[in-house]
Amino acid sequence: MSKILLDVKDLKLHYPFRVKNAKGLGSETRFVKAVDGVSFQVEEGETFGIVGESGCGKSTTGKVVVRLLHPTEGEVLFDGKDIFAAHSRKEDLELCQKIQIIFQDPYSSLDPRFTVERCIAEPMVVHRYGSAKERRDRVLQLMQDVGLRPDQATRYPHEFSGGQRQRIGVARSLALNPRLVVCDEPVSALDVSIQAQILNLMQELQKKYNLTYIFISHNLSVVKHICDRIAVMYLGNIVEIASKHELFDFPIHPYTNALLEAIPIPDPKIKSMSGMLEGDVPSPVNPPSGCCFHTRCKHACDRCRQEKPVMQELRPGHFAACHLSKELMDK
Amino acid sequence: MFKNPVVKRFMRRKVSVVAAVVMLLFILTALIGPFFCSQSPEKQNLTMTYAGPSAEHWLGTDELGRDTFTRMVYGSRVSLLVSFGGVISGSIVGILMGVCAGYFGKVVDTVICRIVDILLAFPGLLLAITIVTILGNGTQNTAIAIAIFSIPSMVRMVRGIVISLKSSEYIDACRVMGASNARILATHIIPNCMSQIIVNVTLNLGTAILTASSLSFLGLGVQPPNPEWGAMLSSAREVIRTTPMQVFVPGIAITLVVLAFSLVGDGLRDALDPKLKNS
Repeated sequence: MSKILLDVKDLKLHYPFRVKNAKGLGSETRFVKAVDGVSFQVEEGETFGIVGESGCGKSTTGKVVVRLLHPTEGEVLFDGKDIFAAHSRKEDLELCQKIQIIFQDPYSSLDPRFTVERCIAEPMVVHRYGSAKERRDRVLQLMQDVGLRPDQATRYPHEFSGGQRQRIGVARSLALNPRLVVCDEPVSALDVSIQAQILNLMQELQKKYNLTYIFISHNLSVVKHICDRIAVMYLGNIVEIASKHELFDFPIHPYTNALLEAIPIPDPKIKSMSGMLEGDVPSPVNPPSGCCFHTRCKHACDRCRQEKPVMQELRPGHFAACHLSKELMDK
Repeated sequence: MFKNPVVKRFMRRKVSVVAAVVMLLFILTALIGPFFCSQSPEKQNLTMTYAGPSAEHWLGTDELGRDTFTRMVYGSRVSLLVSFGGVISGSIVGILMGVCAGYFGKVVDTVICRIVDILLAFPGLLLAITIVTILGNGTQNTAIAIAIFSIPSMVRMVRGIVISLKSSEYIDACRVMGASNARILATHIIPNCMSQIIVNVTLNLGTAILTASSLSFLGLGVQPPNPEWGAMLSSAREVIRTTPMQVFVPGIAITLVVLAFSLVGDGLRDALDPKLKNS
């Protein structure tokens, strides 16, 4: 097993909000439990996928890792150091240099008033990296790496297509030579034909610069293409973590099963509706007791309604949080 | 002919173009007009009071025999100085307050918004009169009154834009790369508010000229013998039946200039509208 780069321990992020009392007098504070106790480890050099429905807390988890959001509880260790411990400005910048992010929407992630060159050079300016000439050379190098022509350096973002803009975003996130890049649904906003190009580009760059990715997506086929290990999230909890092949070939958790069955098969004759999930995701303000998935699980029993399942290693490197995992595995 | 799309869109609206020409003429008059005037605006000639237009006095003379045309030219300089000085300094304060309120939110936002609410609670002219009453008359104090008067609208507008900009992903990207708040504000947020700020300043300038004239009409603003359009209107008011010319000249000038600034502001607002950016 290679070195652990990022260690997330029992991460919780609860957003407070105030609601009126039933009697209409006064108000009380309640919490949206966006992330409710998530733990995972990312090894150096791998691509770690996080999948789940919208609102399950996957993006929130990613934003905590890049420190855009502060967790309510739990800690995140990068290279053994807590990223939320008190820092000097210098340590702060060092962390910023090592952990970067690629955003979902290539239209709002670039300042419309900045030229491509300024966009990509900005992180280097913030970090006072090199002289203007060195920065310019590096920008041109990065542009070449992501497949942009050098003569496009003086253009503005609105002159580019979505895929090209995402390439600019990728170049910007690599400008500081990061070790970990959080990819927050980097291809969801793109056309299917462009998605593959960007994914291949990201894989090439990973090899070239020895990057570690945390890849957040709701698209299972994309995750299957690019990830080494995958965590499945549901309602602020991780329900299953396994390597890609394990997860797709031997899914254990009923939720993972349902997700996999929901992948459309491009053949009209096959009708696979057996595992279709019914109902909606419960509100994260008031999550169900016990296992958070029991309201929609066809195997749910009394124990699931009362006791919260813990993560167990059921096969080598394959973890799932389900009381019935043993029985389900035997089936 | 015009490559810049904003200029092109502005040129398409003829009314705004005419207004812009009037506005530029006014500014030009204020800047270089006095160099072409042979007479002093304060030179009295009591033998020639309320004279009609003539080759020597193009627009006639006032109650002390001073040349109205010369006084109009010098008066434009006072109006320009008071309104530009007031609006620009007020806008700078307004922008800073608005940016802080929108960007930092929470307590800062609450405090700034309440201050703005207090300022907005008074009708505009009443607020200006109150300030001049407290500070005293004079050119400088009129400018201060106009500055305070133009703060609230600027704060409200900038705050709104900053709140919407703050949530965009490129601001998040800056935070992730470790940029300081000062850097984010100076390089991303303020430049992105600039087009709306320009529109607001232009619209405020028109109102400011009117307010400055109103104040001196009431005898609270610029003091005689300084030539000022509002003050000229006020002194000519007494002879409106006998020599209406003396009322019409400053009255029409004020109307024209305020109209010009407002129309240019409208034109700019349409030309800079980001929703039309691609058309």
